Amino acid sequence: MTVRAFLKEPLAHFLLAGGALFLLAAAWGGEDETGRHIGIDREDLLVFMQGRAQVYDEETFAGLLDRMSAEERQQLVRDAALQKALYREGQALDLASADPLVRQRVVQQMRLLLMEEAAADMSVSEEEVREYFAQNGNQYRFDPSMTFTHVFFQGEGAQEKAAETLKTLRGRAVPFEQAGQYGERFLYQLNYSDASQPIVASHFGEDFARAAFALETGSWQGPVRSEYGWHVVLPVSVDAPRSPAFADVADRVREDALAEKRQQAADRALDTMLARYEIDVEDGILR
Amino acid sequence: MFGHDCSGSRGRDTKRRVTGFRHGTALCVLGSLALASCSGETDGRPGPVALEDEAVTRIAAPGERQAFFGDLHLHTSFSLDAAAAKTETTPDDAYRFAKGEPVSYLGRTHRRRTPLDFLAVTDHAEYLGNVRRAMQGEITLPGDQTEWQRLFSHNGGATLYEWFEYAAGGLFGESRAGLNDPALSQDTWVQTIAAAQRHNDPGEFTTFVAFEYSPTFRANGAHLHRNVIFRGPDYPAMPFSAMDSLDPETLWAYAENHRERGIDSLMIPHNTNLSSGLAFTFDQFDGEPMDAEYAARRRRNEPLVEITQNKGTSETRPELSPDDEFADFELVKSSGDLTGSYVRSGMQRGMQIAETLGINPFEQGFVGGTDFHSGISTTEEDNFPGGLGLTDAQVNSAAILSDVSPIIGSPLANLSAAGLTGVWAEENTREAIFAAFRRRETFATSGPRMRVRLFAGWGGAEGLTNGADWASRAYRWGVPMGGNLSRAPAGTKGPTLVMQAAKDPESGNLDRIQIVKLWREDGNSYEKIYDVVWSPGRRRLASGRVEPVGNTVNAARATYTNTIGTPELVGSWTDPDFDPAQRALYYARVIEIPTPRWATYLSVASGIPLSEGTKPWLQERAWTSPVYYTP
Repeated sequence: MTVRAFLKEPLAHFLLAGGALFLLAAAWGGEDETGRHIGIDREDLLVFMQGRAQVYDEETFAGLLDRMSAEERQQLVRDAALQKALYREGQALDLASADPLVRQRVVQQMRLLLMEEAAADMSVSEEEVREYFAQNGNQYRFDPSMTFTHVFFQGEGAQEKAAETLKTLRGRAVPFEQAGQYGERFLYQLNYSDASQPIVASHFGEDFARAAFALETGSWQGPVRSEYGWHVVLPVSVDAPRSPAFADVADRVREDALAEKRQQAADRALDTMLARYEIDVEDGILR
Repeated sequence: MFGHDCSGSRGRDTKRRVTGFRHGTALCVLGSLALASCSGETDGRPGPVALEDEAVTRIAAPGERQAFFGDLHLHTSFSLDAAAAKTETTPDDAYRFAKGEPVSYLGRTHRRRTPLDFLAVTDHAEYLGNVRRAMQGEITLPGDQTEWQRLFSHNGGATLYEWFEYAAGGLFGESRAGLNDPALSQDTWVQTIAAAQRHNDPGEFTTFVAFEYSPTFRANGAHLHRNVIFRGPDYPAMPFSAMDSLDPETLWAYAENHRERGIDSLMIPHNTNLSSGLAFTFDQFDGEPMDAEYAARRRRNEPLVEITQNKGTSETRPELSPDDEFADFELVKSSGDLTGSYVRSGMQRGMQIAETLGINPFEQGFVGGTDFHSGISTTEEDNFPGGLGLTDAQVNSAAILSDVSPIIGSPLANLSAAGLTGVWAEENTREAIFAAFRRRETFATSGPRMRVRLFAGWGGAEGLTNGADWASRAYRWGVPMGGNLSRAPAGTKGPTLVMQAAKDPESGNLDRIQIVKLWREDGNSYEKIYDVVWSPGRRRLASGRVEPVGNTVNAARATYTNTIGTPELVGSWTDPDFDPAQRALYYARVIEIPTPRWATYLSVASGIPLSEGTKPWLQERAWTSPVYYTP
């Protein structure tokens, strides 16, 4: 993450605000933050200007500040001081408790802060990725798939025509790419490459799909009946349902493993934080 | 310029070759067979041509082109209006959903039954990403923060529209403090490109980097929106928005400048039904009469038009096509000049303009898109979660089914769970599919994945559709959808159109295929619709129309049966009234049997009846790109 991008994060704003308060407190040797003294230095002005413009580029704003007239500087100092004063007044009123929206925002930011802290710069090792794959291999499983061509007949006598044609195809050892010269037009495809069983079932019907995936590969087979007629089938390859080799899906697995690890770390951080509190529950609530 | 596509690397190519093509072509199969025998050559077999570096691209014979289905119009939370309506999905989610993975949207997990083959995420270029940022606290809007929080925390309803009003300023080319931040939008554009690159998987799933240019006019609410689809692998540094200019001609200049530097794109006008007649005018945007250069630029930049989507179908409507009994299909209200707002009448104008300028500015093919603002591209009527964030979230069924929406002038139940684009391409890659867009070998559907072929030629088509390899022969015989017919040979009758349609395996049977002919004659424009082929057992009536297919929809249960219609229709037709001296175009329209609309499923699930103006069923359909005849 670049510095510029980082500075755009709401979390960064939160951290900056927190950091600024800490520095303020330190500078005044523990003086009450809601006191009546507001110090403004060059750094304050630069932070203020960038925040106001929503552009985080210190160099440019330093130049801008240097070129400002005395009058403009006075206005700038007033604006920056006003912001600090308003913030302190708000703190003094405990707005965060009084206003549910501010309260929600604080809670949200704190949650983010905790979770980010716990999960920042987290990475997964090769072992962890493999372990995740071993545990969750099922979610990467491929449907069974099949590569084949077919010769189709429909209407009366289709089964007989298909059986006759099967003899011809076998007798002449008709190759894959000449299948189109035999048979009739099929409404979907002539050739299917790595077609999953659900696809085959949707184009030919469940019964055909079951039968086709059980055929011997490498030679003309059939005839097999579909919802539309009879088919002589040349299966080239049938792949059983399989979990892919780790290497083929490694990137996806790494992403998923990292996401899970970050989530677990974040959950733990929240648990740990909460464990530092004693929770006193009114009688009867938990029954 | 950044975002170079790394998928051209050897590693990726190796994967393509080894894993083969799921939607493979014969040559790909041959390739993998050859690979199995370790020769890696195609042995000079006839037909398919392999490029020199066969590992990079294999081009199959045209007859082996496959139908791929995708969505070229989808928004995520990077769009100003989608974010305002609390859609939370990102382009990553959109691509994952399209590939068939489960994705969470508005608190529920959704999954497409049949994955798509390609997808372009087309977020609005205006304030790109920044409304989302504002709502997440990354941008502080000026003014009373409590007031912003009140607007952000809406739960649909009036507050949504209040916030929407502010957030959507960009569509009108208006600046909004805090939201108009090009530096942040550029970051979002980089993320948009990165998501598309991550999910592009040649041979399996194709992504297109894209955006929507969305100029909208305060005076009449007219939309002149375009989706800009990039071919890749290189992309501009920034999208082009209504903030840059409301004049579409400036968008063409943006595209042309980039094209000269090797960054190719095409622009797809859509929602012409909401253009107040400005989509197909005789004039240029500046009000001057159209000149030849303007017409040529439009045609070059905009080879496709979107004919159906969520906010209505733009083919035609009964007022324009009183003799078309299927014209009343998934319409929303249109204002202004209807003739300039609908594709059919617009294409007639295009031919009229061509008579004086010599070039038809509206010579275009058809695509369908969803325009959902949810990141969830599902056009399955019984699996549709709504598409506009909290605007039409189905937790509040009563509002969707009963309340009249000011936006469309009727209940949101009348919005459409449509549509899709089908392309005929050699393989599922950016290169092959983009080339199909350019040659307009596309068809639009209202959602189902029916496969439609159309070829046009001059005579000699007898028996063409017999035989398993008919498509290969048809490509040698004539031109496919989107093509231009050659000049009529001397003494010929009219052109012959040969067509085939196969039903979506997951949807209804087919009712009929029609040919829609538009032509010019003696200075006037005409349209005529011919029923060419229909399911068995029905008669042609004296009117020339074929009797209705019937209706098995049980609206009380949201069911239908495929006991009527037919899975496949094949036919051919020769124009009986052809005049070789007149401009004409022909497209096929494939009609399904009636099936329940998505609102009917919602009505049954919620127990709330449909309101009177909402049809319980629809006849889904496909439109092929036209074949054009120029004397």
